[in-house]
Amino acid sequence: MADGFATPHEMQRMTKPNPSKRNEIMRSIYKSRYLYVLIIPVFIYYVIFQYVPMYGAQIAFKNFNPFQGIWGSPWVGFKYFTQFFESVYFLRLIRNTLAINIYNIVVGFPAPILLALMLNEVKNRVFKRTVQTVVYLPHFISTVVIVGMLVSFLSPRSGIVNMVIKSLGGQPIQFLAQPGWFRSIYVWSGVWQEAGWGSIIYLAALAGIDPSLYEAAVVDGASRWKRLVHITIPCLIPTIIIMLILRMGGIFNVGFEKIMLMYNPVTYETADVISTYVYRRGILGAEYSFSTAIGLFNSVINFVTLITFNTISRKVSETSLW
Amino acid sequence: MNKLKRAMAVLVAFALVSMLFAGCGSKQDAKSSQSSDQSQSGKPAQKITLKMLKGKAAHEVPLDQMDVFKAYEEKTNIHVQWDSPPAENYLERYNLVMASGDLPDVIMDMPRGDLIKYAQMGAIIPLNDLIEKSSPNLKSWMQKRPEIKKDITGKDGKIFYFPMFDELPLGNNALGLREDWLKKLNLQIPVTPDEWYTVLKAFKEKDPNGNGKADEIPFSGNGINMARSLVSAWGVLDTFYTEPKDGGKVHYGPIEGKYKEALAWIAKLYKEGLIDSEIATNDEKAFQGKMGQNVVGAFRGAFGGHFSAFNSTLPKQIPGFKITGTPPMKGPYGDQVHANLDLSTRSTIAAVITKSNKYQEATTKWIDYFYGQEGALLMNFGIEGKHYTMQNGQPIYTDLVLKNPNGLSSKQVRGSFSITQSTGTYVLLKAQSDQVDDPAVKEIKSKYLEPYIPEAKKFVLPNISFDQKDDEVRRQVMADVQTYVDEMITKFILGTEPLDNWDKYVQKVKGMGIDKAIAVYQKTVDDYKK
Amino acid sequence: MEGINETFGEKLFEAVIIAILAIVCLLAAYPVILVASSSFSDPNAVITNKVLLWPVNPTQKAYNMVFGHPEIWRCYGNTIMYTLLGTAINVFLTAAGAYPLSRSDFCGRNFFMAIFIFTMFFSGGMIPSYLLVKNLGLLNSIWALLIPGAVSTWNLIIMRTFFQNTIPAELQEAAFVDGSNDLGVFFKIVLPLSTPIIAVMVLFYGVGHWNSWFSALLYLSDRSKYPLQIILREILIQSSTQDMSGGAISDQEMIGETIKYATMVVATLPILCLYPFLQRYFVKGVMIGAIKG
Repeated sequence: MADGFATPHEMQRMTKPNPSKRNEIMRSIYKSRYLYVLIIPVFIYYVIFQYVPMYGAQIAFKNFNPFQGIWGSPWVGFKYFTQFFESVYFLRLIRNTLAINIYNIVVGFPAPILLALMLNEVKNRVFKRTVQTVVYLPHFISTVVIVGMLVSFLSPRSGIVNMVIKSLGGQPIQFLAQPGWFRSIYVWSGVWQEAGWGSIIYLAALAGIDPSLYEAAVVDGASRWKRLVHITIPCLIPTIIIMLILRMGGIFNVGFEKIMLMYNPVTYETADVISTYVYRRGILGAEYSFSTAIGLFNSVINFVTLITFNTISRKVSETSLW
Repeated sequence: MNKLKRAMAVLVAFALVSMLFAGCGSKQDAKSSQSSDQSQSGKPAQKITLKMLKGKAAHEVPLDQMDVFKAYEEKTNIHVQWDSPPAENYLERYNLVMASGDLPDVIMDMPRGDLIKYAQMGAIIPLNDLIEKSSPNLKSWMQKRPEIKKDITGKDGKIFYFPMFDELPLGNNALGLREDWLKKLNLQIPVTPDEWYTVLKAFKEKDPNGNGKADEIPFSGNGINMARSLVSAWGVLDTFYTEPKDGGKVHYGPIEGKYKEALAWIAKLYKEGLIDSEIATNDEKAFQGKMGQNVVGAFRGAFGGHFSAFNSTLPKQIPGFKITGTPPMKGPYGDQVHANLDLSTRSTIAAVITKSNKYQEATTKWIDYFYGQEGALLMNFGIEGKHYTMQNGQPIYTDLVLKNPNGLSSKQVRGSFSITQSTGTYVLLKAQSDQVDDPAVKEIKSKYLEPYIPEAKKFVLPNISFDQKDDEVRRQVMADVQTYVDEMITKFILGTEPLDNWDKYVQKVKGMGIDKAIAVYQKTVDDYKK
Repeated sequence: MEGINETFGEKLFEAVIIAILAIVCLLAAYPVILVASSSFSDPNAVITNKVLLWPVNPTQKAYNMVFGHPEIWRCYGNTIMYTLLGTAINVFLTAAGAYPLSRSDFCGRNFFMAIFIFTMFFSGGMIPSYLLVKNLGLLNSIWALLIPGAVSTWNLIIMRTFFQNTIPAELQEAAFVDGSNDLGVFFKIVLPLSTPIIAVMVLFYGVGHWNSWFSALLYLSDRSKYPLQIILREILIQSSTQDMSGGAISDQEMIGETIKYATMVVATLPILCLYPFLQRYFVKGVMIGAIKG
């Protein structure tokens, strides 16, 4: 990690006896003044475009209608939260959301890392570049098309998978009508689609590793495997940790579009998540406040999870968000 | 490289700072309002501008380019400034417009659930007096067809919106089957469930597609709802409806005893492979694919997207292919109900006048025109000479519309001159449907739909609007009920849940508060009937 | 000898990896080829699932429909401009925000980090953002598309992580000793060494702009300013055969399925050309020559 830089100025200052706390802060800021020049425009952007509109989060606590506006709509407190918590499906929705996400993390998080590591070990440049390019393409295929392909492949009548099963003497399985299969299909098709794109960040991190480290290791007689384990992976760990912390900060986010396209009432049991439930409710009639309230609930849980993991990470490793 | 980066940094910083100080720069300015309302008929002396919000359907050209509106502007000297986002994102824009406080003069296609709310808040104005004074065409329709007036009048006697309606309201969705297969197997068009069973079984066993494989799918559809809709033969609907045998009280289909009987029959068909085993996971594409593979014998579908589409495109691949309609299925209690009705007015809120409108009378006249003979002709048929000619006093579409030289469909050509293929404040003339409908569809409408309308009207709910508080109760209850009902009914049909558990299921639905929802519907329907 | 065994083991290692990667590559390529083939196939074949790998009855009709749309070229141009300008703003601001955060001696580091991260979880929603843009007078202008999303906190964190882990402290210290200030270090040393992560940011932000349509729908009322995706979506919907009226449909509407694939190819091709171009920045050893002495 980049360490503190002791400039001549600072060395001087540090020898002065007992500066007052306030002065200390002012001086520190002054010392970082050029960094402030860089960060101030970004800060202004956040204040104007992210913080100013935040008063809209109130919608979760009001019976909002656009005409009366956010300030004019009547306050209802926790009504919508209560409605959601009291739903017969509350626990099921939470369970499904968490289960799908955790499954996704266990399978989908390591995949891009492994892919990047493997690509890194390939010496043939042409092969490496080709694979790199092809493997990120599925990311660009729209969800609608991907699900359409899945439906085709898994069809009991004419899909490839079932043809193979039949030829091996088995009975065709109607995959998309089985609650037990839903999560696996969802997660693994997600890996298929996103692993390549996800590996880009790790490839960039790998490209930034100091080659003189490898040179020194070769001189010392380290084998390829040893180089991988003792140089490559340790250099990649900080990036991996940060990505994992960020990923945990999305623990309650399951996008509704893909689930919507893949599920049907038979698989609600394992497939119905918070976002699809809110969507279906929105069809009955525009429910701004309700969906904002649920969104807020999700965000709070996500945020707490992030803080938790960040704290753990800070204690256990040197890497953390703050 | 560094210099470039620095230059860019300066540029971007400059852009940011200047944008911060842009203030009230390039905002759209409200067109300057001209003088007073014009109260006498005929062209107003000065050009006035009305701002209108309406979604633009995908096949339509931008509204300000439509021939109909251009011609109308010349006639009336009223310029319409259209705010027309793509129709599928209309709701977002509509909500933003309401939130911004910058209301247009007219809003078209406001969601029905918002009507009462915004009327109460004064965002939109009552139209009774305006209609009385300046809307002669609509008035005469309301006298001819009192249900129109009833539909648009709220329980406080006030009218808040202009409707859209058909000259002859019919409906959509019907049961259809392969006429060529029927003929090949020497069968008649089935009417009762037993007859349907026989026909479907024959489709399955007697290889009507002649390829030596038992690959036929007797009945299919683009989703499980198509199978569920078969319950109408038992005199129940797959939703809220009014039960004629119970004095017209509101019932909820999926918990009725007759629904269970219907389900038993449907489940039996599914078990014997007479209903597509994949019907629960089918989507539109999968269903159409199967039709194209020449394996589906019967289905339930839409007139345009299915009946017309299949009959016009599939005969090229499948020789002899022909879809015909059937009468509604006649169940054991003698009910023959066609559940997808067009009511006396369409459910869309075709137009409301907002409180910002300074030309209320002129606006009313502008809208009213399309209910009258001249305006309806313009809206439905376009420009005389270009889009239609008069023959024996009847408007007949030209080849530009029906046999477009550039291969455009008539829907697209009509979308180039008016909004007649989506919703609007006008009356849809029968002459239009007559000329553009596929012959099979025309036959279905006259033989299998029109005669059954009076019966269907006893079941289908009228166009009601819920009070805000009632609506909240309804939505709160139905969110969970719908989920549970959808799950359970699908399982009953697929056989993964035995029908012996029906009573437990009904108990659970009752426990979710379905009675509260039924009460809300009942109250609103009663208010409507007064 | 130890040396020969290691070489054999290493060769096996590499062979296994190549085999795995080849399989992965094929698995990833298949759907892509399928999409491209479907876009060139006869619509009937597409709907009845006869297209399994190569185009069936090849036809150009879908592409004719897409490129025949009167607004398509202008929208293509719009999107290119939005992407170039937007990405430049994004990358610069993100780097400017990430660098100070990567410096552990930056006073206020945790404060800013917290401020930024908080916004990843909590926001006001569509309506207040819209009102803000409106009040700033940005409605219906290109800035409404580029400014509100100028910095993605996620990308900011990734960039900060890269700066922190990859740029050696000694390098920056040496520059300070030579009399440079923070800005100098940033522009002359850190950025040039950060080409891999800048390439990634260009890719991420660029793709984001290229695919965006929702902001345009919200903020633009002038059709001549619409980006590509909105027009493509319209073409797509127009060709769907979901029609409630009784009218017969045209050939155009029949090819709805293939249009879906054609629009995807049209929308994605330029981006696909961008990545190989950026790939050269993912080369190991970008540090060579950076460390003096």
